[in-house]
Amino acid sequence: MSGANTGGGAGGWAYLRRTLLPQVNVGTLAWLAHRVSGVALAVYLVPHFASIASARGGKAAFDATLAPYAAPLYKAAEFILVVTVAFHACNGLRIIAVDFFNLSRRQKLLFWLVLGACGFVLVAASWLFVPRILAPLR
Amino acid sequence: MAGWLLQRVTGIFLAYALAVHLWAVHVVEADRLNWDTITARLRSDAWWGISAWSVYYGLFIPAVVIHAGIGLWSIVLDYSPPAALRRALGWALGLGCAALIVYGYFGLRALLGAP
Repeated sequence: MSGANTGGGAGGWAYLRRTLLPQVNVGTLAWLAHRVSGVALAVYLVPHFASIASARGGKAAFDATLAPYAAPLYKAAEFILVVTVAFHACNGLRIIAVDFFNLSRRQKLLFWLVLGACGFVLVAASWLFVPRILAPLR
Repeated sequence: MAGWLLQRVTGIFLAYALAVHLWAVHVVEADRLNWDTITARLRSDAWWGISAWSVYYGLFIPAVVIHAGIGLWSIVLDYSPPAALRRALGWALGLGCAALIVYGYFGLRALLGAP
């Protein structure tokens, strides 16, 4: 941080504008989305493992922990979670394919394929999640 | 280099493992995700007394935690922190990941009905 943020009197924002804006393109957005989704999923691991660890209290404790997750708000969160996982997984496989099969000149095309695959997961998962999210309206 | 390769190996495994996990939890066990359903699944499909699901989750837990740890570490390195901060963050991440793997195994053991 200390070395990189020189010359920008306004600090972080000027640095971000100078370093990010001139080179915003598909690749940058893919990189940023991969990073943001990765951090989000890493953070999610902790509460997820905590829910699972409640199994140490036996059936009653475990079911009491899981029961609230059937609520529509949690179903909406799970929907976002599944699509986030799908994006991070597909884009991660794209990165691996580019690394191992020398596909850097095809990376943008591959990114559109990644978004297509995510769109497919979004539609397929909505079949599952949307009725549960909208359950209170029925 | 080792981290780069490990990130790719765990990543490929996680792409498979998460597809199975999310399918099992959100499709097969949708609306009945509870102790009875999950313990029945985890304790089934035994080969010579070892459940296939215990092997699967036994690999899944360290793979996902190591993958997250390497990912977060590469973000730390991208910001080129001073040596002392870098060392402190390295220890925090390493110990945090080790603790999370142990924590994950505690939950898995309970669901498997291990003594």
